[in-house]
Amino acid sequence: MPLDTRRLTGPESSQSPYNFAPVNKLDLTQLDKRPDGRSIKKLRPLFLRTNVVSQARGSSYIEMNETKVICAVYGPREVLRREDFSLKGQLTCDFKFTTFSCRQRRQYQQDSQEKDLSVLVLEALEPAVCLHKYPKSQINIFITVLQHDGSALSAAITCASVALASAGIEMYDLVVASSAAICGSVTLIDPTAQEEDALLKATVKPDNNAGSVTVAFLPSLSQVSAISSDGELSFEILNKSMQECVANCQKLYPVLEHTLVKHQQELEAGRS
Amino acid sequence: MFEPATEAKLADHCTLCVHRRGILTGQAGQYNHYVWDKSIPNVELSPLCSPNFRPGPPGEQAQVLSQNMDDLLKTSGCINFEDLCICPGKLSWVLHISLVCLDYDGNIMDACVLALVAALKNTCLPAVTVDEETGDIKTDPTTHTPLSVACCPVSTSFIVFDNNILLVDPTNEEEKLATGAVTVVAEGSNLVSIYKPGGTPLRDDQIEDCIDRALERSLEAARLIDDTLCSIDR
Repeated sequence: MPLDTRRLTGPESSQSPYNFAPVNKLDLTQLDKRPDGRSIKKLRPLFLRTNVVSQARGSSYIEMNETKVICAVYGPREVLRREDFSLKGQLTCDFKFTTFSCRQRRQYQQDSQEKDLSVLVLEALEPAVCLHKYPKSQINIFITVLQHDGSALSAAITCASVALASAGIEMYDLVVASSAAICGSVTLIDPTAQEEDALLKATVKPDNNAGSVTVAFLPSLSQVSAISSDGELSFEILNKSMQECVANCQKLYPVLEHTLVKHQQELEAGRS
Repeated sequence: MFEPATEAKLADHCTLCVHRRGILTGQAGQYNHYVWDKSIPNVELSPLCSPNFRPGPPGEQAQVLSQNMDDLLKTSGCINFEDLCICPGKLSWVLHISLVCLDYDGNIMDACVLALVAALKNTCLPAVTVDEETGDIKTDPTTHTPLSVACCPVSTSFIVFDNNILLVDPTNEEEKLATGAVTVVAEGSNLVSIYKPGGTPLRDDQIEDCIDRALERSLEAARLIDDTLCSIDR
């Protein structure tokens, strides 16, 4: 770990007190009884708000029970370095977990998982943004996960697409994302962190199927912009759970529409 | 998940959020003496909150703020660092304090202090026991004891505008136009610190006026924090 001279650093060997507490493990054979009492096909309630960061061009906040993500969009601004200059607009994405967001304390510097997620969010959003309308400029998306309780990637993609739309960036369509965790023949919709962890770390995999899948979907064009899957999954099961994810994206779409209509009404009320 | 969190929102949209988690250290001996190392505040001004900040390591402003928070914790005496000791010479709590700015619209110092104190008052530490023979550490996540916070320091910032006008609680725009700034940290009817980083020189009576207003505000803010903490269920 490189020494961080610009921050106050504490003792290196500190540990979370919950490391010494008994852990309640998830029973993989009884997945239909989820810890939060949901049925396996049920999504968590979604709360979306725009205009949360006054300094940004567009911003949004998403909450799915314990998963909380905030996103701000700046730009289009000019490209600083001449080498980066391009006639097509550029989209950048910066994904960060706050140090306190996960069960284990995270570092201040962006780690490889966060870099990976930045790229995944970027790839999911790029097909939806009319980048040719913003020549010689760049649009910056900053995503911060305030609390992570599973499905952070799908929350981040949905949140970022709403922030882009509220910033008035021209887009072909909104991007809605949804995720599922798969264990054997059971597909858990919208998994929590506990469920995700249990499946990724599972040593005994029922039917050699354990993993998770996230699908980003453009609902009015009916196109899939990105798919990301982790773990070991058979083709049929992956296909089936992807279809379930797409169906869930369709279900979430009205919430996004409603949020943006409300955003527009607030803007107009502010102007008059 | 387990960490207490508070969000301070001043009227001018400067939103801020503090979280902390108590973390045990397994180091023997030395942490008994270095009591100052038991709380580590860090202020993060991410590029999310304002277009003025760039991604990467914290800038000058964030570093200064972190240091200010650290000084405040150590000098105001709001936490008794000996309370953080679990087993003398062996185990101690360490408070990792992250202050994340979500929306930067000026007067970050006041928002940081408010959020810091509120989160400290909201901190509960789970019961930890050490087996004397084997040295095994056990945490009981069901029982919590609140951290005792002795006092409630409140900061009040002023800017000097046009060399003689004093403005309280400046917005981002006002801060940019300011010719000087003063920050007064008060606790009840006591003064904790005054911070005046250069700028326009001020007369005695102006400074006194600032102090009077800061003392008045500190009582109001302390009442607000207590009311907020009463209204949440744990």
